[in-house]
Amino acid sequence: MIGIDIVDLEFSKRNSRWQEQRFLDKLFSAQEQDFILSDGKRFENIWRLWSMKESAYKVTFRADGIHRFNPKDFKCFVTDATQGKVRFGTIVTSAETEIHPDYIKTTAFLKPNWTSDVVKLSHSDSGTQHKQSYQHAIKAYASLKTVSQNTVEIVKNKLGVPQFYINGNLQYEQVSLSHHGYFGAIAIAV
Amino acid sequence: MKKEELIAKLKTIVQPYIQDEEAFKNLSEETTFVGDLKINSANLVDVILDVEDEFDIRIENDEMEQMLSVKAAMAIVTSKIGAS
Repeated sequence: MIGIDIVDLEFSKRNSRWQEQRFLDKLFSAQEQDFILSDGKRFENIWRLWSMKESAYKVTFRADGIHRFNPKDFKCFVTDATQGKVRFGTIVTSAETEIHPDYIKTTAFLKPNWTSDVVKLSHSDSGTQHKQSYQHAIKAYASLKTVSQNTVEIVKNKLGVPQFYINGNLQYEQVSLSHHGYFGAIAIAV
Repeated sequence: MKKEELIAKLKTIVQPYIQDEEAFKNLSEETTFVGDLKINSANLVDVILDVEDEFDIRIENDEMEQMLSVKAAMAIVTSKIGAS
């Protein structure tokens, strides 16, 4: 199972109360806050841990289908500059983060066979975000399966989880999509 | 506080974060923050902090967990301002 989350850093800088202690207290445990404040990279660390929690939430949502806003129940453990783990109850997901000057992207996964990609979007409205992220995922999947893009569709199931179809047939590979500001991200579990 | 007044205040609070104008225009008790208004999940905590400040209340984690719709937010705010 797979989940992806991307944070547009320019957007987050402007449109968030991330500098406040109350913001930290709502999202992060004391140990996570220690990590955030450990090395003078508070802003980057906040969004790294946030994207770890959000991508892991997407993995667990596939299993139980319950919408919640419970970021503190997802405990982050940072291993090194890119790798970490997120624990939710008894479920532990791996989490690989890319820290780019303009975005932070984390892919959470249970099995190591996946691919992920970032796409720069032309506009930041929700219609464009949705359309261009979907187009990118369809293109990536068609190339992976060596089929024509016209045969590939992404349709959400009744939980709202997107799924690949080829010629109308549901496919085995899982897809996860995320967008924020001017960035979209896709992950495909193969 | 009247229901209409409460909805109007919540509407003002969520406005900076919404990404679906149509859903925002038609905001009702049934509207959900992420699903309908397309608020990025990274901004949900900002909505919650803004609600706390506007109504001078504190929202606990277990309450925050359920605060995904206008109706749920109204129920939490009403229970808090009623109790004070």
